[in-house]
This record gives sequence, C-alpha cells and structure tokens, in this order.
Amino acid sequence: MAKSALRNLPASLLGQSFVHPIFDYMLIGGGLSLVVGACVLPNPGAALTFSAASLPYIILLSNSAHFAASTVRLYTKPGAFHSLPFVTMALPLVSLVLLTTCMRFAGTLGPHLTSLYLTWSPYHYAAQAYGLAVMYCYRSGCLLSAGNKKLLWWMSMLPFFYVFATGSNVGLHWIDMAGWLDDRPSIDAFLKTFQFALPLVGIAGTVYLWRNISLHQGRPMPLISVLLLITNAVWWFILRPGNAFVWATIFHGIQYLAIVVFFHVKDQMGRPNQRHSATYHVLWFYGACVVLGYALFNCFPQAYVLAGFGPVESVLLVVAAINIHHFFVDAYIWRLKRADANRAIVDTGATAPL
Amino acid sequence: MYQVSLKDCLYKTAFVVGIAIFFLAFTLGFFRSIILHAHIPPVGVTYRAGIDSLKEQRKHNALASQLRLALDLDLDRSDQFNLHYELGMLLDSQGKQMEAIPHLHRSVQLNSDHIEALNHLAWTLATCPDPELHRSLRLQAVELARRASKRLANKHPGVLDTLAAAHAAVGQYELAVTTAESALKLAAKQQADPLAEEIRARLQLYKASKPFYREPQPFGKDRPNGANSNQ
Repeated sequence: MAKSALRNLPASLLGQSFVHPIFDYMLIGGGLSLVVGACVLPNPGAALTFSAASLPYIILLSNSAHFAASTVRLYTKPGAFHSLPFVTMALPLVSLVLLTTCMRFAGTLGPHLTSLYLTWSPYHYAAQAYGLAVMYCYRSGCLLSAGNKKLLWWMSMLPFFYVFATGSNVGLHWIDMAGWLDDRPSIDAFLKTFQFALPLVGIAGTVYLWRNISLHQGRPMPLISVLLLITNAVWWFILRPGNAFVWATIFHGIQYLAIVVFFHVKDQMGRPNQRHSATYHVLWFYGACVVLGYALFNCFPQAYVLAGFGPVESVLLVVAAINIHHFFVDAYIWRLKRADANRAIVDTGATAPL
Repeated sequence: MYQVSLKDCLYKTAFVVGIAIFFLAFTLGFFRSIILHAHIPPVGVTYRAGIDSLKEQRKHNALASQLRLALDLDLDRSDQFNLHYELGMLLDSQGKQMEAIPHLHRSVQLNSDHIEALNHLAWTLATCPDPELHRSLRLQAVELARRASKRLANKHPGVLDTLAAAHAAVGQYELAVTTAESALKLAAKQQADPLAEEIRARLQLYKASKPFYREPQPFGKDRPNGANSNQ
C-alpha cells in the first residue's frame, strides 16, 4: 500500500493538467514568466529583451487580447444574456457614460480612475492566482478544508497587500490624498518593515500551507498551485513597480487566455449540433480577442480624439476604463453555478476533456 | 400574453445604444488610426503622436495642459522624465521660468545622466530674469553647468556658455569672462557662428560686471546657446 502511495506521489504532485503538464506549468502556471525573467533581467541588453518595435505587437497579442477575452467570453457563454442581464446589456453603455464623464473632467476624475485601476490590478491578479490554485487542487483530487482554503486565499493576496501598502499613487497612498502618511516617519518605518516582512511571510506561509495540506488532506497540493502563487509573488515582490505592471499584465494575459480558451472550447463542444473541431473554436476565440483588443486599445481612443478630447486622456483613461471593465466582467463570468457545464472542470477528479 | 418588463426594455435599449456607439467609435477610430500611423496595422497604445501633433501645430496652451495631464495620469517612470522635461522647456520658452524650474528640476532628478536636461536647468536658473529667484538656486546653476560641462570634457561651447552665464548670475564675473572666452574659442573653432555671436555679446556684459538675463524663446527652437544641438 505504501509502495502504491509512493508510486502515485509524483502524479498527485504534478496535478491534473488541462492540456499537458508542460503547457499548464509554462502558460497557465506562469512558469514561462520565470524562465523569460531569468534570461532577461540579469542582462537587460540581451536579445530576449522586447524591442520597442516588437513590444506593441506582443502587448496586442497577449495583453490587449486578454482584456478583450473577458468580453468575448461573456457574450459567447451560453445563457449569459439571461443570467447576467445587467453585465451583458447595460454595462457597456454605463461604462461608456462613466468613461466620458471622467474624460470631461480628466484633471479631477482622471487620476482617481487611473489609481483605481492600478489598485485593482494586483488584486485581480492575486484573485486569479487564488482561483486557479484552488481549481488545480480540486481537479487533482486535493480537497481543501475551509481553514486551508482561507490560508491559501491570504497567501494569494499578499502581493496585493504589498502593492496596496507601498505603491505610490495606488492603495493607501491614493486614499491618503492629503499626504498624511508622508509626514509620519513612524508610519513610513512601519511600511518599510511591512515591505520587507511580507515576502518572508509569503514564503513561510506557502511552505506551511503545502505541508499542512499534505499532512491533513490526504493528497498534497499540486505543485502548479504553488507555482501560481510563486509567479504572482515574483511579479510584485521582486520586480520594480513599473516593470511589475508590464510583466504581470503580459504573463497574466497569457495565463488568462490559456484558461479562458479552454472554458470556451468546452462550452462550444457541448453545444447541440456543433460541427467544428476544438482547433476551430480555439482559433475563432483567440482571433476574436485580438480583433476586439485592437479595436478597444487602438481604435477607441482615436474615436475620443475625433470627438474633441485630448490625446492624453483619450489613451490613458480608455486604458484605465478597459481594465476596470475587465475586472468587473471577470468577477461575474467565473462564477460557476451548479448547472454550469464547466463545473466538471473544477470538480474533484475530473478528467481533462480536451 | 407575452409581457415585456420595463427592466428588460431598458436593458435591451441600453444594449442596442451601447453597441451602436461602440461600432461607430471603432470604425471612426480605425480610419483615424490608419491616417495617423500611415501603416496597417497601426498598433501601439500611445498619446505621443497626439502630443507631437500639438507641438507641430504650435498649440502651446493645449500642449501644456496635455503634458500636465499626462504627468497626473501616466505613472511610467521613463515617460515622467520626458513629460517633465518637455513641460519645463515649454514653460521656459513662454517666459514662465518660475513654473518651468520645478519641472526641469524633477527631470534632472529622474535622469541625472541626461546632459541636455542638466544644461537646460542650469541655463534656466542662471538666466531667469525673475528677481525673486533665490540665490541658492543661482548657485545650483553653477554646480549643474559644471557637472554637464565636465561630462563633455569641457569641449562643448554651448555648455561652457551656460557655465559662464551661471558664474555671472552669482557675481563671479572674472570666472564668467574666462569661461565665456573659452566657449567663444571653441565656437569659433567649430564654426558655430551664430552661437559665437551670442557668446560675444554676453561676454561684453560680463566684462561690464552685468549678468545675462534672457527673453523668452519660441518653443522647439534650438537653445540660444545651442547647448542641445549635440545631444
């Protein structure tokens, strides 16, 4: 029996992949960002560094496409108009009105819209890391107790707390508009200690969590769940804030696209009378995301310029609004109700449907 | 009997209106994007082309307000340097030196290796005609100009001209004269005739123990002492 358990250990550690362990670990788990980071960061002049000419295309194919993906997913999700009437029908116009109001009063409202999206971003990425980590646990047959699930949530959220407390123009420093924090050396010292201690708490907490699950849940937490926490932590704890936002958005975008395409294909293949292959649905979905991403990030700001707004608010506030819209839509589309066809993907012991 | 609730009706109307606006915006934006970038696909989320266009059209007030807004909204550190520097130069050219100085100062803080920014700040501090400008800032001009000139091995006539002006601004007229003479020799050697002419005029002022305070220059034109021409 012990022999059999030992033989099963590597598989349970590896977890249940969606496509293939390499695909899952590199793209969904974020391993690719660690590999690229290890190659690029020690030597910024290396050939792997994104050139100024190629960066816009990389951003279009990963970042912009990922922001569009939540919208494409929303409108292609079976029954979304019925189950999410406000999000599907009213939200576009509401967003448009709010964005235009912020544009009209760009000097006053614009910085708040920007700070809101920059504060929300790390939360969104942390929440995604948590959601995916839990999903891989369940798929791999690792049932989490309420206590462990709560601890996993706290560990996932540490990078968000880190940015919230220490980032300039975001989180605490955004809320503190009067600059009260800046004039308090004791608070500054506390925040510096917090900044130093949080990564250590993250490492210790993740090790404790992994050990606790292995000891008490019968199966170990799959390593891809740990990798998800590590990559998100590396983006925010190790990289400088400006770089963190670029890296996190690019690799989070890849991660997001990989998983959302999977859910989309699952839905489409389950439709009655569907005649296309999975590859067709993958290409269709990704193509739609790239086209919509292009329209949102490149064409939409130009329309605002045509309407008489300045180029600065037309570009930067549209970007902020698209981000916030994405975070909002995302909060709804990943809620899997009992009857949802994709429920099987996260349920214990589910087999990979592709 | 089939009944449509008010909520359904509102949602559907909002959806149709929203989608119609989005499609119209995307279409118009796509054509403007093609015209602006002159290639397909015109990819790149940036307001830079818009800023440059305002600069070309010489809409200075609109440009200043756009640069100010970009400083509030764009948190990218590399862009912050450019924005502060451009806004500082624009305000300086409009004769608003007291408003320009904090932006030029910030640009130097963000990129202390940028010799052009160092020199421009030193020039503005040294030649600002406002009597309210504190002497400590004039002294800082000497330090900044010396640092910029040292980086160029004291071989740039424009930067030496700035150093001479900075010396004169703090009453060090002998140093101003010798530095201006060195600048003049270098300008003549490099056949930079307009610059040599300007230095010669300033030299007369220093010999008469007078500082040089300048008039506003049109934005986008080379600095009077040509200090940015080699950067």
